Amino acid sequence: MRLFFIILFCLSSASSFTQEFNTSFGRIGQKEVDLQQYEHDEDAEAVVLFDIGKSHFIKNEGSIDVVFERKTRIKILAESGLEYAEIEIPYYIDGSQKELVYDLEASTYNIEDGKLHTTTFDEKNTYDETINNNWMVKKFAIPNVRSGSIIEYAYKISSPFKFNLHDWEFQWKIPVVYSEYIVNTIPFYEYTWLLQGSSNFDIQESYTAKTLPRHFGSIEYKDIVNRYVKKNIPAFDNTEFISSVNDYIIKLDFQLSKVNYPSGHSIEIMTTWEKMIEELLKHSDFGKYINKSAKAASKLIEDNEILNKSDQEKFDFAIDYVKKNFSWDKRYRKYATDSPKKMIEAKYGSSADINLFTIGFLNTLGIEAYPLLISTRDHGKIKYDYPFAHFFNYVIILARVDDQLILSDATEPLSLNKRIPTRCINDKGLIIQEEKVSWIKLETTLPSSIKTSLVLDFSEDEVNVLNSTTLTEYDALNFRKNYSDNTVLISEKIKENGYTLIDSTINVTNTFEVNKPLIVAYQHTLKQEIVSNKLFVKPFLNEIIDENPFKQKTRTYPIDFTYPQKRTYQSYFEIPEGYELTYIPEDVIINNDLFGLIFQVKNEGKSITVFFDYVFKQSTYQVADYSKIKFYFN
Amino acid sequence: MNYTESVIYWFSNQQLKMKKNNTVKATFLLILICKLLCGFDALAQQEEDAALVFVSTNIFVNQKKLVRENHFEIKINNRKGEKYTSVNIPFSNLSKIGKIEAFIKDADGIIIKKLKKSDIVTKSAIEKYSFYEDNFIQSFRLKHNVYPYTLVYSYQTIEKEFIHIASWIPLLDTDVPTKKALLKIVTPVDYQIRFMQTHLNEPLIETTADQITYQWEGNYDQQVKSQVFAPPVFDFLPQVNVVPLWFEFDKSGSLESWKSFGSWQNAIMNGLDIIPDSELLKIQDVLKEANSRSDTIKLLYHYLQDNTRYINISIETGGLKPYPASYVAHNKYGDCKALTNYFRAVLKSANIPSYYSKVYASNRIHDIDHNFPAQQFNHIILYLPGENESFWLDCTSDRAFDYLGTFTQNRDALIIDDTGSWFVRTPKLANNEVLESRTAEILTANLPATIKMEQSLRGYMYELVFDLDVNYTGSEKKRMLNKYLLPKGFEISDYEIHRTHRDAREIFFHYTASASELISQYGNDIIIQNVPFDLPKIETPAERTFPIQLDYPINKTDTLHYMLSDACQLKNPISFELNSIFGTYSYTLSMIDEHHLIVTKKILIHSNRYPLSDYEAFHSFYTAVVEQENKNIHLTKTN
Repeated sequence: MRLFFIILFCLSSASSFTQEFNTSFGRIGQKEVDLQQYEHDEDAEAVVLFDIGKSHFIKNEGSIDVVFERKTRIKILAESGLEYAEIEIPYYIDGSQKELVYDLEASTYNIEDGKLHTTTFDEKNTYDETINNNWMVKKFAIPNVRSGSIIEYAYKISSPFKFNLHDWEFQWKIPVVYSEYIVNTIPFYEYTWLLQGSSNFDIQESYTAKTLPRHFGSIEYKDIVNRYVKKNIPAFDNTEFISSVNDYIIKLDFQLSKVNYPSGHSIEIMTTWEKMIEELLKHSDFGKYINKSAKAASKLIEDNEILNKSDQEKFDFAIDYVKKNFSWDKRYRKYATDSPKKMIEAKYGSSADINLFTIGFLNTLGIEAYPLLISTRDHGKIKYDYPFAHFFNYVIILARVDDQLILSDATEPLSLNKRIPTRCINDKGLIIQEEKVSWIKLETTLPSSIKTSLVLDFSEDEVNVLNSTTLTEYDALNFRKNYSDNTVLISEKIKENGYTLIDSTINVTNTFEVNKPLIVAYQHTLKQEIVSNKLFVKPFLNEIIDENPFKQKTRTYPIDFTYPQKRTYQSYFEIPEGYELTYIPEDVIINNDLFGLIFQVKNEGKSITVFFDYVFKQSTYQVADYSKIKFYFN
Repeated sequence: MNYTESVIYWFSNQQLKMKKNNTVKATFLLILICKLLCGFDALAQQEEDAALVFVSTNIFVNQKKLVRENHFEIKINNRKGEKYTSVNIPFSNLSKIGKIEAFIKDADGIIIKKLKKSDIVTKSAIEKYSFYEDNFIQSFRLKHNVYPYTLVYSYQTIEKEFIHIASWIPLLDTDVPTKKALLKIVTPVDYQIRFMQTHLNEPLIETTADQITYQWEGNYDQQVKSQVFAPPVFDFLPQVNVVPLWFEFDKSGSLESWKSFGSWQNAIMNGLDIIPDSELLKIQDVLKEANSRSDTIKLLYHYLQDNTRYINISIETGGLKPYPASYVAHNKYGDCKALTNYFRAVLKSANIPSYYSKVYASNRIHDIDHNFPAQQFNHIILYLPGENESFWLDCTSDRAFDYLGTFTQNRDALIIDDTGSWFVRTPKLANNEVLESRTAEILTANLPATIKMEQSLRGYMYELVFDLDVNYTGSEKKRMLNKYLLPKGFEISDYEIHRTHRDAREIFFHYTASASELISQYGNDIIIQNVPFDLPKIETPAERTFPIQLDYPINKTDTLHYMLSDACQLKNPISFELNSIFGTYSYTLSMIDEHHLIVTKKILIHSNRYPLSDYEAFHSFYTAVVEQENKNIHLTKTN
């Protein structure tokens, strides 16, 4: 039985030039010892000389376990690379079933007195950290490591969980010289795989194992060896303004697609989105949870009056009820953790608990509502050609209200009912409804804005300022979440700008009325410099960001602003007594598909109005636009 | 219990969420964060979101057993206060935890919900700077949806070996008021304890035929918040510390005096200083070239720095007892205790005596209470007194030989010896040891202006740049340097970091950068923004509640040379000077010719402590400096 390939990448013929290092565990060559600096990346603090993994199946008391083996060798090139000598191996536990980490070995090689000196690791110096009920981490520090050391370690993990074959990341935060993953498959489990971040392997081959046949019951079979190799993989550069590392790191992902029982029948684990949707709808922690929620919610409605109201009112009633009574425990989930009854009792839950419950609630009120399965920004992008359930990690609400489709997330009380939080804005979501596969864009085209209006009044060596700032949409949400109506926090923020705040002038309007724009108003003073009888006015004071967040000259990943952003600044003042205007900067107007900017000065008699406005019209920009975006920020 | 936990025993039973001071190696990011957020993590709230209505701790202690019963009642007034419904109860392999109970009362006091055993989760609790610790938490969450409501929970811990009885700070968080707090300690009549309290009254003591009861009562409503150039917040919190006079912790000991505590510390380290022969051979090899005592010490310190690394693994009594020297000799890693103990043994093999010394390391000096012999420390360093030359070595440090730095300078170190123990003050950083000097050439011919900066940095900046240089590489290092070490508005293009030799207590950080807003031209007027000294913002006298504590001097000098493409004339006043008891400041502008402007400035603020009543004067001096530093330079074109 061969692997079920969804796609076939062309085999790489021209393998790029490689520094050849020994790839056998426990045998160190002169080249590894001599290596002082990695030729392809002279800043590298360490380099992975080889990283070799293998997954295969073994019989274990009538059942089959999957064993993952790994051996890795790293050369430490600088002090900062020492962290790679602290190893952490996560393993999974589910009740009585658990993964087992064993056959741990590690060594360090140093040159001492011109000779290769080996320090071996004592397995008793390993520690198990408990992360939660399901996850443990085996930890150990490799001994006698310093800059110049070569370290290597090997371990095995046996697992009864065959659903996810161990994935393989070819790329590290340091360069990798040689990375190889071998998967030996058997006829009983079929997997699909997907390579991300790269289009090809240096070596990819599949062949029947040259061993004696194995037996399971009456079935005789041989392993199929699938080998994937990549060489000279550059360090992963974790740049700012990308949605998720998961989207870009080079890795090979495996997913169980079919189980063939020895008795002859087979179960397709996943073939199509249709099947996945069908199974979700039947799932006790998904579709059935919604149905149970609908029943449970009907008991929560104290006044039946709501049933006679409009769709919009019903929608808001359900969302407001959930937001008010249940809080989100910050867990990102697509399946409910427990029954709706338990959630109602606990008053808190995961994204799935809360949003699936809300969908049930909406259905009870007669509102058409569906779960929308998504992948949050930090979880990475969905690949639409591959029906893998693990692409998703979160569920939100899709409702039809007065014939309009509305996206909602009841975990975010400070957000509008018809908006989803920024963590959810990530490409598209899959509607979970009967007999239909459709995707909905999560992106918002509506710009969020911050409008700052200043009235300046000059006196002596000071300027008195009345600042009124209006925030909408996501910009307002951020403010509500970070500052709420806390004047202490707000005043700290104002002082950061170098202003002297006039006591008790902060006034925040609509903090909790999320349907309206949020307005922050306050008065402050700022020292003003008069030099040789000249007054230099900075009309927007210290309001405008003066640093370009994009420092790199070039960029390899797209820029993601999450949502379109508009900024408006307006400053009004009168020319003080005894002064006259001697210099005004020129007006500027830029307007294109990506970006718009206006700078204007109006002077009528004694009064001057300065207007500045810019908008990033898209939420994401492609790599090709980087230099333009960088330029606009200047 | 752990050395590296700053507030060691003080906080060990509390769920206080305060910034902890890490050991030298682990502090880097924390410092950056403090630098960034300086004064921005406001804690005070307009209305209280939650309150610790009642907290009580009842302790029953005798020679063999310590039982603590803890009880909390937290009132949640709104959604913002709800974060306190997540409860983490700490315990370790040395303490057994039990009788966890929790319930919720509504506004009328009716119990509406109880905690189920199955809802409690156990997790490891390992500090960020540690690799592994056998500390754990039992965690649960119990909440309601109608405000206000009260979360009540209680639990019990039992310890067999202990060196402290209570380190009681009856707070949930520094921004949450405590309405009523009770601490009760019950001992047999023949069981002696020692205690001290701050910001709380003396205890009520009752003696009966068979037991003594000590009782403290207090509350907290000040909502103390960190302030600049001040003692640590921790010094202003109500707290009680209680220790047994006699105790059993690995070995038996007494807290009767510092001498007895030191003897115990010395005793538990007995026999841990054996170095394997193979290691001794290497040490002899290192010493082949040593000609003097100081040579020997320095060569061995370099050997230590080059061959070991800091990793904190703390299990069982690991908080106070180092791993043996043989462990470090084999693994070449350890925490401050293990590395110091190992290095002491290494020096001993070279016939150089040295002392294991306990200090409280922190970015702000926290004074040791001399009247209260107890484990008040969080770090270990090595002291080598000598007739002509004494040395202080931090065995976790990669920095210069005999350099303690801002984290351990100028504070009391408890010197451990088999003949007793005593305090020695660590050397304090002098003015010339913290000097930060910058020389810049600024080209204004094309905009943005180009700055060629040369800096020699000592003291805190030496430590910061050193750590950045060692811990980061490539584009990430450059980004960090730009973000944290360059003046606002500067964009780095190239840089170089170097030291004249590995033991220099000075680092050179040169860079070229551009700054688009540094120079602006309006007709014939040219405005140049000054490149100000990096000085933290300080509180106004009205906001200030803490006295002034300047742990080391601030000493900076700048020479900024502007090359002007147009012939110009200076319009500003030429010089400015300030002298006060706090320090001195000077600022001078001079035109060499029409194309060359030079700005020279100097600031020196002395290291000292002043009462709060001096703050107004300090503030006015400091503000005058900051104002001058932020003044622009005005030039006009002459042709």
